[in-house]
Amino acid sequence: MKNLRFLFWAYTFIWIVLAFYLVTLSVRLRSLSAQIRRLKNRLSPDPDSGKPSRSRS
Amino acid sequence: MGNPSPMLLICRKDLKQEFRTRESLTATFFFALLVQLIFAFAFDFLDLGLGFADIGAGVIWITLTFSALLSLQHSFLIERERDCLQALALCPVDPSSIFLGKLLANIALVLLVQLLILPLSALFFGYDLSAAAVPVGLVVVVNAVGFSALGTLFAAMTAQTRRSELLLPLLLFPAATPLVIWGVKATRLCLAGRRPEAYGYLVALSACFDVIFIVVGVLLFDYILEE
Amino acid sequence: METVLRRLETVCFSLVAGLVVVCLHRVFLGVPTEVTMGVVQRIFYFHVPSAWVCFLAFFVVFASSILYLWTRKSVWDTLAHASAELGVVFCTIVLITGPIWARPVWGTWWTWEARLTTTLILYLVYVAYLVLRGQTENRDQEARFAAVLGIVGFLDVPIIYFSVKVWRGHHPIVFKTGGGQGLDPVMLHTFMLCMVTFTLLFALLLIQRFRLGLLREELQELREQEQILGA
Repeated sequence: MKNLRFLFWAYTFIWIVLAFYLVTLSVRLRSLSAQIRRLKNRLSPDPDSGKPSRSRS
Repeated sequence: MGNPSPMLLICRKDLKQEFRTRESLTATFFFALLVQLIFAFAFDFLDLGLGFADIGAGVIWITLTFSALLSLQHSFLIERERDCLQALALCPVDPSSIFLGKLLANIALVLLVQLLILPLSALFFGYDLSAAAVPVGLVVVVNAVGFSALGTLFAAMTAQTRRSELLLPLLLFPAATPLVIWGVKATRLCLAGRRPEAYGYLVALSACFDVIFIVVGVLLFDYILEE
Repeated sequence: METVLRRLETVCFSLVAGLVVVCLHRVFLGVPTEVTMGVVQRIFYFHVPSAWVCFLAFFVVFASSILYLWTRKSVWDTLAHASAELGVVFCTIVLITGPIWARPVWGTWWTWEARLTTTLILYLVYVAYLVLRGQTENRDQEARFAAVLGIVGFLDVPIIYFSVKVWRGHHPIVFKTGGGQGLDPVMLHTFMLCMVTFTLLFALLLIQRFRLGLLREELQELREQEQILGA
């Protein structure tokens, strides 16, 4: 079982990199969704402007 | 007698502009000289007992590469400074003519500095360029064409962005690695006095690279210049 | 589009989750140990699929860039951006696991052999792509310039690989994969399984990152709306 530590570190790095990316991706997704929701709420009922608010799916 | 082609007009404009002030040429030439000086200190050939043949090609090519980068950077920065980029974009001319015109001018200016620096480097580092002058010259020319093709395309882009001085080398150097690899290898073989069969294929490969990226540049330049 | 993407994402996620467990089991317990390299050879099962995904990602950037310049639909630009980011992530994995594998096998962390060098240059090209995207003046310019670089970069890659091979003469064949007495069948099956798993993982991440890009555009549009209404 020589060189087991190299194998261990290789797999550890792979998981760290992927996990880090996944986490940052979810954080960014959630933050963006929250910002969009807030903006939509701000724009939505706006009787004075006469402009209907657009929402895209 | 037809009108001169836009490509030649643009090329002539750039060259005239540069030769009127010669500021970029002079600065680039002296920069190349300084790089040679740094190499003289970095690799103390006398003290370390290094033969120039060992690393000479590398020394030459680092100098040539960085001086070409400066020339190329200048070629579009000057348009930006004088607000000419928009004018170029609005020209009622095929963008590929603009690309080719700029390319020709860039090749000329890049080569001018490079071919001036070469004999000086032979002087500084004491190697015999006369025997290999023609083949080395050919290698330098073929490389300059390819480097300028990629450089003209990228410089046109980066001149319109922020931090253009940082961005151009970041884009250009990785993309131009084949030219550097082949150029260094060919120059080393030329300086070692090898026969053309030994390095001919490297020059041919560089020439293919040149053709490919000139074509790519012609096809894509339109998208870079549009408003 | 959002619902289609979410559904695809769920499917991919379930598949990937299941396959990862199977892969890990096979790689660590099911596969015979390689004769010359020992246990460390098992890095191969994740290292090579990462490299494959990396190239796949950059191909997607290439194709999306062409489609963007052709159709001018921003969705292609969003896809290109997403794929480039993923390509850089997987390239990072390749560049980390490569040296970790090389150290015990070749005795050195780094060697300028063809594949490693090409991967490094590729990495630099696409990092430059991502940097370029951050330095442009406006959205349209960002999309156009990135598309041009995406096309030039991808066309350059085979040339770079070829030139590095010329430079090095030849590169050491780490071990044969297929053909003749190459790979043990169990190893081959596990390897193919890992390839499929990584490809699906790429698809999953791409969908998520693509959704992120779409959300960003939606946010931008809403902000512009707000400005118009506010002004």
